[in-house]
Amino acid sequence: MNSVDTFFISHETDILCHQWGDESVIYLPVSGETHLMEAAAAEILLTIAAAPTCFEQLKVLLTATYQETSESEINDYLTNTLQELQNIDLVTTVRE
Amino acid sequence: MLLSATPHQQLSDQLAGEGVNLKIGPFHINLTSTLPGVADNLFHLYGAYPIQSSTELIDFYIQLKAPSAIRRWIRPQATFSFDGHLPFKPLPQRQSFAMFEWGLNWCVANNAHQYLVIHSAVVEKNGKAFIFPGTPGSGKSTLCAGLVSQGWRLLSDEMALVSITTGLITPIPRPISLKNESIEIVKSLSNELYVGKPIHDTAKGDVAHMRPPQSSVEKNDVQATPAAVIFPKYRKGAHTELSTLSKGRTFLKLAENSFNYHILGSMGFNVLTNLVEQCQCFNFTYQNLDEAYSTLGNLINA
Repeated sequence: MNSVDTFFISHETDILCHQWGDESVIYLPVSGETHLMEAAAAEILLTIAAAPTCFEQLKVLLTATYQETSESEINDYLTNTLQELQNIDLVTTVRE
Repeated sequence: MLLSATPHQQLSDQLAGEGVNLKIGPFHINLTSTLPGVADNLFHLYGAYPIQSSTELIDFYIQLKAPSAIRRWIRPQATFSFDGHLPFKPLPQRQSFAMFEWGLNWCVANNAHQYLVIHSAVVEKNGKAFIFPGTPGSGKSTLCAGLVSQGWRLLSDEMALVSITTGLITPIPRPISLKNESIEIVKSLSNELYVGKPIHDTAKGDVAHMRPPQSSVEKNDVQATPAAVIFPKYRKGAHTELSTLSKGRTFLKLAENSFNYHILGSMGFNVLTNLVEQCQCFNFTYQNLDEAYSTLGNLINA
């Protein structure tokens, strides 16, 4: 993954999401998959689903939401989460 | 007329002929069978149900019969047929009534998509329904039978029928399926409980069924509001412990325990979201039933 990458949703679909505290469940009608994830990860996913987004834009979003968190922690979290979302084929860096 | 008021010979004749019509929960069932023991089990375990007239529309036509003439005599077997289809392989004939129970579960789970169907026991008190989803060995049926013996209303031992339009739970109060050690545990709870003869060496071990209380059957049509989702875990030597489970994790576990969440799609997601939203969610470890009654009684009164 490269910090200049733009992230796309892997499969064009509406995403259903419900948040309880720091957890969210999301549902993808196109595949029937349900995932439980941290609310911040769901926020990242929904942002990418709304429009293709680059790493820096996501960093700005998270920095605004989690103001107490250091930049390096946000970088690490974002890198790991985007990798995880790619591993489970929810986001991609290649537009289909 | 209640099934238990029907003379035995008349019940047997009706089963062998046009069949017996029962309304079990929201479903109308027509059962026919010439197998020995079916009439007797029906009499003892479904005696609180009224026999319906033949003018009702039937949801499930079910037949229990011998697969072939030779199998009536040599290692006799039973088949379960639903609307003329045979969804299962034959089983030994002595398991025919257990087969009816399992087969009826299958009919509901695979066809009743007006509900989100979750594998769980459901009991109700003070207008609040507690849902106990269960994996084999979790002790859900033992706990369910115990609570019912304490006056809780039985909605189901096997499945929560959550309406996709209202979110309320529709009762389907059928016999409680007890397995192995739980048979003797439940028999010892009260002399007033009727537990049928154990059926040995089934795929699930020894199985016996407890008759649902008449009061629960009489409220066959009274829906209940879900108030708590509780994942039971029976463990020998364990202290009774009720611990909060996050709603996200509860959602995922309920989806895994549902028979038709994947079929309902987005609607299933929305129904399950609303269910979890309105319920308190817990893990519950127990061994001692009296302590379990007390803990859950406190929760229902809170």
